[in-house]
Amino acid sequence: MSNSLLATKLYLPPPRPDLVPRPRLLEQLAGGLNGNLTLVSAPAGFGKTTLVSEWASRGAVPFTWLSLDEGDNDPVRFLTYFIAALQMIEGDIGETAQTVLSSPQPPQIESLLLGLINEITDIPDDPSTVLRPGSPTPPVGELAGRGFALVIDDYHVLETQQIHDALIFLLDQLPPQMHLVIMTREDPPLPLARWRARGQMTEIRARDLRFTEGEAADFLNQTMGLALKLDDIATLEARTEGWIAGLHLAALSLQRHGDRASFIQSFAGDDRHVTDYLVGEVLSLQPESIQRFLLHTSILERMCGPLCDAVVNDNETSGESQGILEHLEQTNLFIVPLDNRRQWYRYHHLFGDLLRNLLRRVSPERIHDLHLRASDWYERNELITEALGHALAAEDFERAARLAAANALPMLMRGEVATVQNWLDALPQQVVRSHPRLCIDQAWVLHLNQRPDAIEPVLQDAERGLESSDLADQDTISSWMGEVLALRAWVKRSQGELAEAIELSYEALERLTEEHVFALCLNLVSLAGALRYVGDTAKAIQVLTDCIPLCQAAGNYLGVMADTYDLAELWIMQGHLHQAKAVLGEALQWATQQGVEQMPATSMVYAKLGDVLREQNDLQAAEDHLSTAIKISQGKLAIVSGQAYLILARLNHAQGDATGARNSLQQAKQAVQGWETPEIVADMEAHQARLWLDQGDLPGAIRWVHQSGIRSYKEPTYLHEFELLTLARVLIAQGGAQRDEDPLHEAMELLEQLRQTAEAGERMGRVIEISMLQALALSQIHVEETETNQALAALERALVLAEPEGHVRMFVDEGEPMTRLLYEAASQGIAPEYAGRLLAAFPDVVSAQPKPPTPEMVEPLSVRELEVLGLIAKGLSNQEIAAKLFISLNTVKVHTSHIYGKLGVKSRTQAVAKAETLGILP
Amino acid sequence: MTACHKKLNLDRPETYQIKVPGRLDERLADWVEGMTVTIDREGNGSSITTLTGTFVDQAALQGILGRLYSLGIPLISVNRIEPD
Repeated sequence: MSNSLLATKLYLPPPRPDLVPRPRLLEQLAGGLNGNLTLVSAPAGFGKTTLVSEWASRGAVPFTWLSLDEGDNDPVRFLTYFIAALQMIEGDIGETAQTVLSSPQPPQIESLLLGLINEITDIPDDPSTVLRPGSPTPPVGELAGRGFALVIDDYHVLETQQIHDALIFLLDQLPPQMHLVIMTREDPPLPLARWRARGQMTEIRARDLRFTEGEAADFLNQTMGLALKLDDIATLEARTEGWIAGLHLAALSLQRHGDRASFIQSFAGDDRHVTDYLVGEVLSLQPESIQRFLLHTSILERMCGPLCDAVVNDNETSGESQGILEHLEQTNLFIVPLDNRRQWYRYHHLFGDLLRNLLRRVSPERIHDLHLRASDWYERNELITEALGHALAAEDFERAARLAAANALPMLMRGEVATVQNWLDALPQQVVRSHPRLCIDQAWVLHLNQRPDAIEPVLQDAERGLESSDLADQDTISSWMGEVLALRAWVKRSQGELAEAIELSYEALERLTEEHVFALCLNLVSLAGALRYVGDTAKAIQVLTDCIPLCQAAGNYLGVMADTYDLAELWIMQGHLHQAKAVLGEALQWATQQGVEQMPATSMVYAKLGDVLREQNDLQAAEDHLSTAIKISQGKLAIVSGQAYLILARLNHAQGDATGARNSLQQAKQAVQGWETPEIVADMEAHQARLWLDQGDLPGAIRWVHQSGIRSYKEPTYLHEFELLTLARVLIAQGGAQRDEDPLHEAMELLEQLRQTAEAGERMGRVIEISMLQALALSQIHVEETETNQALAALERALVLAEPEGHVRMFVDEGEPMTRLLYEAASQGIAPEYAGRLLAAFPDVVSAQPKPPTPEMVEPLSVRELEVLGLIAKGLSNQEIAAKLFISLNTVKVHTSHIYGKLGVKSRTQAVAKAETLGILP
Repeated sequence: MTACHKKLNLDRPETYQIKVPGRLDERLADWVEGMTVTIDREGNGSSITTLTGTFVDQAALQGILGRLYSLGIPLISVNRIEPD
């Protein structure tokens, strides 16, 4: 909407001069400021606006005003104007909300309102910063308990349940500074009974607004200057029953009528409805040109000079109308100024309704042309919604369709989805079908409302239309076809038809150009999703990387966050922690610039970043990000909250906080309650099993293996990798604890299978983990040194891949078995600095780095030999060692002789002493 | 005011009876406060719900009619009940 029209919606009507004083009502209103809501509910013509604007002008608190019309039945539009009204009180309120509202996704209204409520609560109490310029500064003692009042006028035009729900939400948590005033012609569908019972609401109803005899006398004689006698006043008051509009109309007639007495007599004796009788009277007393003017402009919701000239005289520049409007204002003929610049006006609602009825009775054949002229003027002045409204009123559907087709997509991109839906609903089906552009716009609306089931028939209509189109421009047709393909790809993806979805997406990409940011974004995200599902991570990364700047350019904040989250996950899977960190950091920076870093969707980025930092052992920073993620997603994005808590559980484990880890896992389960898909449940249970393993509850973990049925997965895909790796861990732990090699062999088989699949899919991040687990499994197999070497080979593979990216927790979280392996690796010259850093991260490691192998030790000790040496150092005899390690006495002797040989010693004591010097005692 | 006219107007309380097809109870919530709701079976097995209440003025009545409309409920009849 243009700025001058926006100003009319926010215009606070100034009080009328010569008002009838109504102290009783004003006192009631003033007292009501302590509650939440004032409801003024009465039909047209009862003086609601006059009363409330008088109250506003008294200056007890600053007032801001929002006048509604039918176009405000779009929640995005309504909230945008609502925020604009709040900004009249405090200039920078709601900037974040405005950013979110102007992106294409349907907003999460409650989060938005909560943000606004918090901002309002933070408004300072100091009156001098709060008052609007120009309004009188009240003496400090007179300030009411509230900070400001927001008036919503003509609430009855709203029919959208979402908006009613938003108001109920707002009123239930209204900030103490704010008082709401709702003016309406009928009781709104809000819980009035509840608020009435709790004394939170002040009500002014029709019976309160009627003029009493005394007030009627004041009005007729003082305000309208009539000087009538008391019994004439009584007659008029009885006939109109104190209805203000009726008295006003009567007064207007009397002002011009030659014979007052006879007028009053006829009026009293006539039983037609007051308005029918009087409007006719009032009009007939006006000069003919004015009558024509009034009737013809009655079709307009708002009037300004040039618009009226266009409509009445078919000549925009005649300049006559401005004069007429000002004359009507001066003679108080039911015209209301909408600004203080004499630019925009409207008729008092009742009067406008009556004029329109009259027009329909007197010259119905004119109405069509009047609307067309209005539509034309609005179009030339780029006020599309109004132009469209008049085109529809004229039932010129082709014109309306043309306007909609030219303007729907930009409106969708700005988030005004309901408005576009309303336009499409108002057009006949045939008309929509014959405009391929409109079919595509309808498909977009369905997409934004998450209705893939309903889109296909609409797309087919679009295709048919494009084929038979007489549009000359092939490029346009091609790019529109691109939109159709992109939407179809989205549908296919949501149906799980991934191969088709990918194909359609690539086809769409060929046709869409850079200008079609909206369609490109959808297409790329859809494509990336499909590519991920079929395991093509490299291509998916490419596609998402291209998509994010497009989302930024389109202001699609949700898209930026979700795409970044997906992209980071893919980078992590590929083992590129630095890349993941980089894209997450960029997204956070962009979010901060746009002011949306506290909005729910940003939690995805915080959570993922927390995970990366945790992996790199930057635990404090990780915890900060995870807390933020949890705080801003709580109650709004259940799945992200759940994820964040799971990552937090791993963080707790890293900090050695077993209780904390258990709590976090519990919180994770609670967070996703109500959202549990089979995938989510399986994931949670695998995390629980992992936790049991960490805390030494092997039986619990084994129970999970049986209950989850994980072993019977026929063809595990990469989507099951986490669960399968957990299974491998359980098997390794089982093998180690029970001294049983069967589970270890099973683990080895499983891990090798997983490693091959992961390498084929370039998921090197997984390969690191798998290789590390292979090393652990091998190190527990008590055979010979071949296994030890194989274990070290596997560990080397892991270390080499992990070092450049700064992985830490992956190794350290494995605990003691990993320390021995790392020592061994370091002493054999495998990534010694990295291994040393990892060892330093373990909780009870004595020396930061094992000493490098001295020339005296030709051959390093194997893992098993180290074990035996350790037990020797503890003073166990060979027999005891054999018993402890479940091996034969002979085997122990073989090990000890190897040990002496390698260390170049001849006795136990020497061996221990040498080992201490070398620093290799476990 | 010459209020001896028992004339209807927009601002006096009146009692109205509203009949709508079907059973309404599930869809009604707290906004039916103060109204009695009865459900009658017709001969052919269908139901009619009758809402009876005293409305403080016409605006309140219009509010309830508006709610029924936005719930997609058509009106069978709206009748004023004469005070005794």
